Amino acid sequence: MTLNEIIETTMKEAIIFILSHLRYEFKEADTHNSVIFYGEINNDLIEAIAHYLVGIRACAIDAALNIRADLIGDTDEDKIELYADICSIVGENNNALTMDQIQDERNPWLSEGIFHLFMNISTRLTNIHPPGLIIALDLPHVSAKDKGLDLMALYLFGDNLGISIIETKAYKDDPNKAINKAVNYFKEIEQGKHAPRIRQSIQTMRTSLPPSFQKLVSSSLWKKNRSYIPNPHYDASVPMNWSNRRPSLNDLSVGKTRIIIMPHIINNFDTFFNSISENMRDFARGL
Amino acid sequence: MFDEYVKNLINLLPDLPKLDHNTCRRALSKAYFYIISSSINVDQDNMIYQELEEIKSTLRSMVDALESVAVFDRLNGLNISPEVENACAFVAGESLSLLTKLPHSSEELLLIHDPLFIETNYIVIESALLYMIGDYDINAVSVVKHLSIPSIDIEDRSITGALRANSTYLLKRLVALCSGDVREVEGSVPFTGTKKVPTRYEYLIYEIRIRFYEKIANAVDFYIKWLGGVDERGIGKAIQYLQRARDATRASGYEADTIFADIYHLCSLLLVVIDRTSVRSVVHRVPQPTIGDEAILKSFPIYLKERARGNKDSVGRPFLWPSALEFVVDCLPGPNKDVVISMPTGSGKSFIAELSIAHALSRGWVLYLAPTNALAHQIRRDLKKALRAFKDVDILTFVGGEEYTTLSEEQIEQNGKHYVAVMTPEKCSLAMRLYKDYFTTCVLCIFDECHLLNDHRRGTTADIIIAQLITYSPNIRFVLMSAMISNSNDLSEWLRVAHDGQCVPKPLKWRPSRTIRGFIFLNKEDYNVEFQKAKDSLIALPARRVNINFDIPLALIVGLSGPWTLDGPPDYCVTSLPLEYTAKASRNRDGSVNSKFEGWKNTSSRILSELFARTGLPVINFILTSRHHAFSCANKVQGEFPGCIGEEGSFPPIVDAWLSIADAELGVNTLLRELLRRGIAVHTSSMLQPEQAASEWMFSNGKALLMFATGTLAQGLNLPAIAVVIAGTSMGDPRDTDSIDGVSRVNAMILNGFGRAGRPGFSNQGIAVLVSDKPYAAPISEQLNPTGVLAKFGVLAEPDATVEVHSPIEKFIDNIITDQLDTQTATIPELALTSLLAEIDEESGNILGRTLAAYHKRHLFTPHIKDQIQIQISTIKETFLKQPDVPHWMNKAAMKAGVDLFRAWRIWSAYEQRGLVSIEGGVSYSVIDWLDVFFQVMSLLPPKRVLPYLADDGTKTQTILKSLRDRVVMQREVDDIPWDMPEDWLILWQELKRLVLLYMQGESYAVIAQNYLGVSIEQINNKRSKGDNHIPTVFGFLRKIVEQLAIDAGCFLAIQELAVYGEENTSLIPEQLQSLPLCIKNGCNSIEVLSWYRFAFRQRICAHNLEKAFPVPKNLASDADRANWVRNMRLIWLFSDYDIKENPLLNYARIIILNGGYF
Repeated sequence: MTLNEIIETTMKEAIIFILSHLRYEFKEADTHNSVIFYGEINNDLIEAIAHYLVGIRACAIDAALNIRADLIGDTDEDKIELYADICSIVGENNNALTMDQIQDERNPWLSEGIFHLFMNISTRLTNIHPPGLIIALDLPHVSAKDKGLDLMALYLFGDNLGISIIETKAYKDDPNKAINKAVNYFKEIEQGKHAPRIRQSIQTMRTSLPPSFQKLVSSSLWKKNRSYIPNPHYDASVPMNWSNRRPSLNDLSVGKTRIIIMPHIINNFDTFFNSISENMRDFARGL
Repeated sequence: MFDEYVKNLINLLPDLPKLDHNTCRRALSKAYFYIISSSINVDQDNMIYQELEEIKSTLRSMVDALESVAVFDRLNGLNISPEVENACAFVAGESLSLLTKLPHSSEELLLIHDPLFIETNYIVIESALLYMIGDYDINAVSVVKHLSIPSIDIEDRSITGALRANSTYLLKRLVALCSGDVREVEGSVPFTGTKKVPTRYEYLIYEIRIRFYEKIANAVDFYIKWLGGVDERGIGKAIQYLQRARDATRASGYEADTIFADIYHLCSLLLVVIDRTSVRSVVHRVPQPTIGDEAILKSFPIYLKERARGNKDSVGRPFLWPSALEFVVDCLPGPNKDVVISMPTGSGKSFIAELSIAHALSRGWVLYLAPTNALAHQIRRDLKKALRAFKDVDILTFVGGEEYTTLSEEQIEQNGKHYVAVMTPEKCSLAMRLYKDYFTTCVLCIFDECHLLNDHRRGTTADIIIAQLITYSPNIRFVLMSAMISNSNDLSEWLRVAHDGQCVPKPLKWRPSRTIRGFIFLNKEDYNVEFQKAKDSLIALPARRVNINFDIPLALIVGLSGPWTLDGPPDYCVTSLPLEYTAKASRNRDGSVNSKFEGWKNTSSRILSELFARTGLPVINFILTSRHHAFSCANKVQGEFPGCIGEEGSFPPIVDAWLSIADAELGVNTLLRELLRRGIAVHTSSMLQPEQAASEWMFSNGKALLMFATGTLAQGLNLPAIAVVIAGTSMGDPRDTDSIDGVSRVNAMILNGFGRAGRPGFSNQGIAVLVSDKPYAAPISEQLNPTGVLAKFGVLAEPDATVEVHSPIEKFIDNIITDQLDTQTATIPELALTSLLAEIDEESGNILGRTLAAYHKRHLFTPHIKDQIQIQISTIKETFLKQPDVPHWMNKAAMKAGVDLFRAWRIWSAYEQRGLVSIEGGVSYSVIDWLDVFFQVMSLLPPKRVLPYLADDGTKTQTILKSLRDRVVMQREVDDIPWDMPEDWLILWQELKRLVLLYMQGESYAVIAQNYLGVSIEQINNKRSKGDNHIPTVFGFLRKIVEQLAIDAGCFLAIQELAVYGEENTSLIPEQLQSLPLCIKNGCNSIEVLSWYRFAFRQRICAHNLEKAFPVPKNLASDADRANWVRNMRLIWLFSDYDIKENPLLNYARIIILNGGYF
């Protein structure tokens, strides 16, 4: 098997595994809806997630190399050392990164990757994305330091297209801060900031849609069919009731049914991210 | 805010739920009104702010959805018509550009090593490109104008440094494209990618970006080269590069990968830009002329390339605007048909004229009719610059106007050369009377501001000229142009019928800017409260106190759909203004109190204009009532405006030069200098041309943000502002008003003013506010119904072009057909026309039959009637000539001089009485000797013929004109020679001559005023606010007396020519006599001074100084010799080290000639 085939197979296996182990719960509140992810973390699950994350990174690198080759008309198969790249995100070992790097770069990237996984799964587990069926999903950021949209997805509901904008935050002890930051970000979007990025991304993503969906795009843009998905990752020790009203969400124009908080509640937050990192290194080293 | 063209565009928008066309228009207008309101500091609590977020949200949705339709739907397989795409692109571009001006949260500098990636930068480029797709490339220019681009550091060779450099380079090239700047640049994209793949994924992405930017920048450069005519295959390469780059973004293998979404987006936009703008490429779309002079045909492609590229000093014109494109497609090569173009101000008329000229030149010469001499000279300068690729083509203008002269250099050339002759209709009429054969080779007539046909005074001349050109010029084509005519179809049908059946109307509605129309009013509730308070206070005061002031807040209502509609409050926005008008509560004799609003229109329009200017918006305050009010309003402005040079600053050299020449001409410091220092410009007919030029320069270049102007500004000059305020809804006393020739309705004047708002290349939108003659009061309310305003001021609902052109000859035709033409009651133009028609005898019926007037009377104009007219004109002539003492050449003299028969006859009688100057006697006469003779003749004229000179001069002192009038007040109908003249009549005429002589000797206006008004030189001041101030009095004297004397001097010349020399001896007429009319009109006392004036620099005071510094040899044999001598000496003066310390005025003249486009 080629490297790409190995990665593809492993990702598929990871998704199937995670599908069978993912636990979530849907809750309604006055100001929003919630889909809460939780569950027993075990080594197999961590390994599956790590494989997916390495896979998605490998996909991104492969995609970039393909673009470069196409651009320069070169058919040489250039490579980037995947292991080194994974280490550039998660460090060569769990002690290699400073606390700041862990908090500001590693964990956010891993959180984005994990949520990419959840959104990816949503095509088969439709309930976890209540606004509609996801039909196109962006790749995560190159680096967690990158500003701008964390993740974007196009979804279908009835005869309409919608856009989900996902803002991921990993604050171990402070999910409220994560929500507040995400809400501020969504407000910025409503004030027109990031509009060019959203326009650019939608027009790029629509190229992957079948012809029958194309006529829906422009009118959906006019109608502002948009959902906001704040996605806090935090430690299970922090008590949170996601059914409570969150007044700050009232400031967003899209309405309750299109604000879906998707918390990822993690038992042993640090251990979880360290384990994922460890597993990613192991998997990348073995490729 | 929208003209008909844009309304049609908006009507083409696709059906989107809840996006009806009204919503779209109103959102755009409200956004602009918000921007204006916020810039003039309207109170933030005002009602217009309440909707702001909603408006912004609507605009954003319009951008997202309409850009998607305009650019991406087709790309993804949907079938969208190009018209719909254009409409969507324009509205998306407009929405986006307005959004960029609305307040938003500060931008985080994302990826500062990549300036193109910064959202605010990208949005600017995006909106500019959308404008270009929507056919509004000129709007793209103003959008990118203020984009700040960092410098490129090619020393930083790190990957982020290389990314920054390439991104900056691409940004620069995009700005060049959006600015229409297709001049070649030195250098190339700074960096290519690395040979090896970077080891880090993040750097790999950077490296790919570096490559993308390189590819796109190269594509832009290829397209720019193609547009400039440098690389014929450039467009193909550009498309190939962009498609390749765009395809590469989709080559990742991961379908929804958006990492290079910006590249995909930009490439897609650029590909559509190329698709749409390439069809409007000047170099590639304008066809080559097909027949004619080889050298000109060869030069044509060079001309197109030069025009597209521009030069080192200015950007060229690579794209045809939609109006020009339509003309090119329908009328070129050729022009192959006549065309009547009705298009808004600033939408590219001049370029259409230029393209027509460039095409026609290969076949012969071109006549360009301009409404004023000043404009003719401006057109000459512009054409000279534009047509310089045609090496042997001259652009001619003439000093003379309607006054008769036979100087050879005032004649149209007939040497087989190809040239453009720019002149007024009056000058053309003279040339046609004298040298009609020259017109057989005229192949094109451009008639700029052709609504002049409608003028009761000048329309006769204009209508006859066109009819004569149709008759005398077998290969001629006509391009008639105006921004104001509403009946272009009618005019077109006239030309089709009268000429050769090939004429199309072109009512081109495209306009490069949008204007919001507003109306200023008093807040009624506040008025009631404040008036009551003032009234109570006044009643409480002693009865001797008559007035008490009180302040009333002002408010503004604007229509959101262009011309105002009857769609009610939703189509309007109302806001209070941070302005108050001070009214008076005034006690009447019976003790009652009422309110008074003195100077309402000028005061409120001034304070509103000041408000605009103080916040940085260039504004023109049009004064309709009196040319002198422009200065009086300017004088009332306190303080200075942003961008002005201030008390300590220096004027730019060219402005300083203009003002210094004005100082010398006036003999007192021009008042304008102090005003311009504070950023206030003035533009009226009661100003010197150097003063007007200084005002124009300062306003155009942002050094004066506030201009007070009269109708002179509307006469062809294109000096658009962002804001326009019209003071008043009626015209003033015609003697004091600067109106637009051919425009009699005040509404047309107002609409012309409205059309000046918006400044293509600087601002894509503008605001025009009307101030009524008397205040209008209404409560400030969101629900204010504008019906009341509209009922009183219907002009707010009128479209821009409303002048229905009719020729004044219509009445003449009625009279002649009904046999009622009475030479005793006919108007002067009618009499002059009769003389002309009588002289062209056998063609008179034909020519009259080809006039616009005849077209409008076509139901009467049968072939039989043509014959009848011919007979009747001949009869009038014969009857006239049969009278005792009327020489046989009398009609010819009148015709040549363009004066009425009776006037010419009386001048002849007076000359006979004085005694003729023989051929021998006149040989040694100087210009001044001839002036003596001429004044002796004039002094013998009977009162009826001199009364036009003696109309009220508006002064309070006893002037020479008043004295002359007083002497003959009881004899005003006397028309005999000799007549019983008052004792001191001849002395008074000598006095008048002395004044005229002062002017001709180059004395300043102050000296003339001193002598005219009988005051000492120390008493002369530089005030300009009233017609009877010293300096304005001289302007009036020159306009009413000197210009008329020059015409009569022309008649005197024609009489001398025919009576003394005979037509066979015209070569013997002394040039001193030939130059008399021009010397009088232009203030020259010798043929030598006049030569400097005509051939070196058309400023009276400078011509006198030049003659002092470089005396023209007296022994030069002819006008042509003097022209050559002066032109050669001018070069020496301009470019040698000639010491002019003795005469600083000449240094100023030199600065203007070399830097003002006069060389």
